[in-house]
Amino acid sequence: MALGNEEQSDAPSALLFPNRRGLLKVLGVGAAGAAGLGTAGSVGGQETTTTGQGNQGDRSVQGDYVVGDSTDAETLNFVQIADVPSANRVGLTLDGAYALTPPPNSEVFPLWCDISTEDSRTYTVEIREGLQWGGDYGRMTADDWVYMITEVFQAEDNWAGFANQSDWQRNGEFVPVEQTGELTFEIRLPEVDPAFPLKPIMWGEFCMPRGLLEKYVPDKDLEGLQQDEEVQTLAYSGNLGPYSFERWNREAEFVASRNDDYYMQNVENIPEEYNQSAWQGAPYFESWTYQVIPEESTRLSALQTGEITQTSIPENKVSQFEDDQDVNVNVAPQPFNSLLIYNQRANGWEPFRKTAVRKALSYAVDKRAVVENILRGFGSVAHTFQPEFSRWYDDSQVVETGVGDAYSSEEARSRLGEALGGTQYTYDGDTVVGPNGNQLTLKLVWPVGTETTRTTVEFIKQEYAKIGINVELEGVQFNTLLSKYAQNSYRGDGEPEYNAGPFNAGPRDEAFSEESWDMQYGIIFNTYPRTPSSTRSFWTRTSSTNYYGYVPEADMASLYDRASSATDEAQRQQLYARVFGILSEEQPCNFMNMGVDIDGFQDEVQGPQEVFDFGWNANTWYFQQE
Amino acid sequence: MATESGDPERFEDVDWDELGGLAVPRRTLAFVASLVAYALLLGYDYLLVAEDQPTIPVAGWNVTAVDWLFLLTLLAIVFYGVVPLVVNRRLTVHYWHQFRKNRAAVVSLVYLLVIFVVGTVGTAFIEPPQLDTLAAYQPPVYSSVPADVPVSCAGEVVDGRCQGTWAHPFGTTGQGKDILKMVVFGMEVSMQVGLIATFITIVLATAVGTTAAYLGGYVDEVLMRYVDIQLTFPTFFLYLLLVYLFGGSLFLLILIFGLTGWGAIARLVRSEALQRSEEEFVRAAKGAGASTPYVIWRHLVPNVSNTVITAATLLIPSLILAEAALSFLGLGDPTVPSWGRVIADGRGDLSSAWWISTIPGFFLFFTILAFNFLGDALRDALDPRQEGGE
Amino acid sequence: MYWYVARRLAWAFVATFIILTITFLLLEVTPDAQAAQLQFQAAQGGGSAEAAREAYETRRGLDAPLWERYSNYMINVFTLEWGWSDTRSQPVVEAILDAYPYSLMYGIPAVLISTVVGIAIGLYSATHQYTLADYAGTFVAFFGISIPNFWFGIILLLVFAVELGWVPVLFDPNVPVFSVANAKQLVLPVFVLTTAAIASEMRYARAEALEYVNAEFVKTAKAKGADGRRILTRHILRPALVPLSTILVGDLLGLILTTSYLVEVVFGIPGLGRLSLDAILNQDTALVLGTTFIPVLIAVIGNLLQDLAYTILDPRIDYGDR
Repeated sequence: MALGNEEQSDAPSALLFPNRRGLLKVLGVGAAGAAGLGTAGSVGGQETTTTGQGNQGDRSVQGDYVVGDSTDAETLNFVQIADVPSANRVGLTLDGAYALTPPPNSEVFPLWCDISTEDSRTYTVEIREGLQWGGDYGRMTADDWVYMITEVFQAEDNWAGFANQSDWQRNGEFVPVEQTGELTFEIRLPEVDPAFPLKPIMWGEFCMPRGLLEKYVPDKDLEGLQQDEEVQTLAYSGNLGPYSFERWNREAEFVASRNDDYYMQNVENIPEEYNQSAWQGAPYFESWTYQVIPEESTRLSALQTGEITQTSIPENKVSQFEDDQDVNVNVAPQPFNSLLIYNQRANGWEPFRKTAVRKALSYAVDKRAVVENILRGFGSVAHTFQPEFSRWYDDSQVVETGVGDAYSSEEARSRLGEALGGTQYTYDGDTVVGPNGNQLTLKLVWPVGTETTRTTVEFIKQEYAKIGINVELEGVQFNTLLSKYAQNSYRGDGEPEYNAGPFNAGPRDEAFSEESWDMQYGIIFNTYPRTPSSTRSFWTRTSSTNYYGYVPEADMASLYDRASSATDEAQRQQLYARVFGILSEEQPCNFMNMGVDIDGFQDEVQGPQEVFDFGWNANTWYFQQE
Repeated sequence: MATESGDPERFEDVDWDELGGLAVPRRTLAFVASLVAYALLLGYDYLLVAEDQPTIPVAGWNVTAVDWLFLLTLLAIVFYGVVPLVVNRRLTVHYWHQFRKNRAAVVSLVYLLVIFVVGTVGTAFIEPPQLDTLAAYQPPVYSSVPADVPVSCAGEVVDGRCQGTWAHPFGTTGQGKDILKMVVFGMEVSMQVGLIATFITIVLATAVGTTAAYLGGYVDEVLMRYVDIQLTFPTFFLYLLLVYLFGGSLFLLILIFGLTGWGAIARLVRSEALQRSEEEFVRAAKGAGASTPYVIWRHLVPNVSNTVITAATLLIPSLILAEAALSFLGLGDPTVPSWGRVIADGRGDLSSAWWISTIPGFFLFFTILAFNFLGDALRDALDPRQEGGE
Repeated sequence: MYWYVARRLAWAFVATFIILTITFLLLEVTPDAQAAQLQFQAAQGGGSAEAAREAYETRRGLDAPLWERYSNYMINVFTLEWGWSDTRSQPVVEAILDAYPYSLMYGIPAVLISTVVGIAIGLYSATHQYTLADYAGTFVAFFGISIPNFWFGIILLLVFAVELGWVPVLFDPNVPVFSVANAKQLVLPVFVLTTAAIASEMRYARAEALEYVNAEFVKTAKAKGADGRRILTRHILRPALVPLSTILVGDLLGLILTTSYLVEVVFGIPGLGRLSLDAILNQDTALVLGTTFIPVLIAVIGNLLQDLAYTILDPRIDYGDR
């Protein structure tokens, strides 16, 4: 199972490969494994040189790279992939359309294709020459792409189970995609969208040969496609990726060996700063293996003894590796925000609907203590829904809560006392009491599986006890959390005013979840620092992921509209900065902290750095020669 | 029972009806009375007291479902375990002499009694373990750990190593909870799981086993076939499935253990009861007009009780282990400080904070060992057929 | 007697059938994990979660009526078409075939060792009661059944693999079955499993043998001058074997199956235990059903063999059930 009870080790591997296509999407919501934005806390890290990765002279093909994973892949059929481990493995053999370089100035790094536009509405995708499918499917042409998009991704009834069909729709209609040449095709958006290449739609997208898909499309043969041997052994990968599939022993290991025909070897005109020669000699390992080791202590032991090259390290184990000369700990920022969600729907605590109440509560929880003590400093405090390193973050607009002066139980108490005026709740001495005179008890639901989540929710309970509110903790399986506490359904009469899907089935008074709840912690949201327009799905009244019933006081919807259609960079920046500023003021949820990735690498590995998305050029990593 | 003044000369002269007294033994009366009181209290808690209010406001104790079950179990143990022992002094002394020969068992008994008392009574007086992020990973007293393992050291830091203190004699967990307290509260949980589930098992197994043996025929066939199926289903797999489906709350866990694990003992009881029902006294009772429940309850059950008790004593440790295993796999009750839970939580830290898993592990180990010794000695003492070479 | 055997066989079939039905029903009742997830993802992208759910149900074949699904399932079970495992992307049968060799690799040595050694110790204890060796043996037995296996395994791993380095930390599935490397990595799992099983064997063997140690015929043999070993093997073993055989298969297998989950998780062995555990946790229905069938089959056959052995070995037993 991919999401939810995930341990951290899956998150970092996700960022390793250019094919982050479904991954950021997939990781859009998950249970908190890592948390906190770490620019501090680099333990035994390497120097942060963005470009200098050595000359090709230092690089030679040697060694076997082994990643320690906690869960195995589910399928190699990328159409259906919904979990990180599966995507990682496919990514070894298939590069994907193009990659994005790390922020703050993300730009398109062409792999199989290049994407360009004149008017930010019609995007032309140009496929490289010389890309060969495996088997006897010939060259990769635009025909393969268009067929795949129109017949599989955009199939009317989604027979293929493609989880991101909505990506290829605008306003309920499928986006027209047409072939314009042997190696070119066009995506014609109905509206201007300058950020389109940065969205995980074409970014890192995989493809399958038409000849292969044709066997199953006419009959909508889902099972055939799923069980096709070429699909499950990635036999069609040809020269399209750095490695070729060798074997997959379920629950044990996935091994891919170096692809001597990798197309990158013949690629010219890679920009200077990305080290063309490094890419041309790629990859630099004889094989790349994902080894499945579910037991964390075994995984870390394997890292210590050198049996694996890389794995993720939980916060409280980092100190173990500090003194270890053979292991480098790499702490890189992540775009995930851990937040304490307030239920503002009818089956939650009604005063949550008042901004003043929410803001008062943000004064009650010591965010710094969470980051310092529970996360051991691996993470950073968040006040709004964007990481500080993002170019859409303007700290002059962001209001801070829960730290320094803005953290105090007395302050929280007095603010809350004021804010509760006009509601049925009030302070009786030290405790908050409800209409029947009993102390207020709020239910906090959290997904089981991670130690830090458990500790954090107990901490939150303690903090709330200090301001007189009793918190009842309920740990559930992640799926139960999604199905019984997040999903909601319409309970009113007649037709709902709007229906944005099972997570926002109607206005907050009439649509609510099966089980009642007041707060949630443990689900992490992706802040999409590259494409902030995607955060819209959380913060407007009718957006699809707004399962907590937040109704913004400011006009968020139109802010988002204006921002996504603005063609002037500076203007866009201002608008988004405004959005996140408003979020920090209105505190729809308590934005607690931003995550980090903590990975341990054997000393010889050259390439990983402590920046966001450092894995985008993993193909150029190498073992340092002795 | 008083007899007439002027004792009758012969047996036939006794007027039984005049002698009075109840047809029901005192012990049963007392038990029924206490059951009634129990039911009243239970009703009060569930019907009259609000959801989040403590049942006993003075003590601030909100009695949970598991607590109620435990109370019931304790009542049953007192009336059907302790009272008979006290009343039948001579037999008790005989058993004790047999039992005493096994020194390991005696030590185990003492150990278990201590655990029982501390677990049931002691937890009422100690505060439950509290989360304290700053006190995480403190080493036990007289030992030390590199200073970067805990967040901050409660004791002194000598040579870069954080020293243990008496404030936390067994150290603390990753959440800063004192391990001694976790062990004590874990005792309560283990006691509850072990005793309640075994109680349910005994009741079911005895009822089914004796009924099947005595009634025979169709009833026996159906019951034993059902037991067969229940036994064939891989038990642990069944636990996994049910716990996963219905959640890992302690109450549910105990119910599942109790309701699915009685098969083997039922079979045992049945084979014992089969032999007993051929005996003369059963025939006599039947001949005197005793009803089926009466024969089963008054004649069969007491005679299979020895087997049942030994089997039960050996069942308890396996249940405790099963609960620990389920916690280890992550399926147990996350809110309850069971030993299995603490071990499971500490297993990732074995190389740096060894005490979290090891110390509760030792307590678990010794408790189970004690039960096994006890069960073995009980079998030797209570089951004369097993005697060998004496 | 043949009638008895036939009846037992028929019963074995019925029992299996009922158990499979129960498992199927139980899984029907569970809320579907993956569906919830997929819907959430789709919603997050601003798309139709309904469509995602429908697509998912079609994919898994969950939209057919209950009876149809049930009958399909039952038919498939008996024709060995156990379906496709969605979480492993391979046929269930293949998944089981991949996994069971690993379980056998540590299971068979464990069963053999614990049986032989356990019975030997048990018999020895019975004939040399109250000696030091008896106490030592008893102690070992108690240790074995009391120690929490998972904890024991972790500690052994820590000591022997991490600290001392005598055995590898990771389990390498590619090592040839009959090689030194394989033996090295199997030592610890087999040891953990054996300690648990030996204890049971030992106690039962001892208890059973004790029944006969003071029997008349043994005394006669002794009086006639037979030495210890002869008495043991020719006079005690045979009758003791009868009840012992009934326990051997059933309980031992039960023990192995239970402990295998824990051992495989701790040591990272991709065997049947982990397979079924993962199947349950991932709600991979086809695989859950497939992996239920294996232990059920083993248990049913085990019980059958047990009963048959009992009746064959002990001529005193009547073939009737009562």
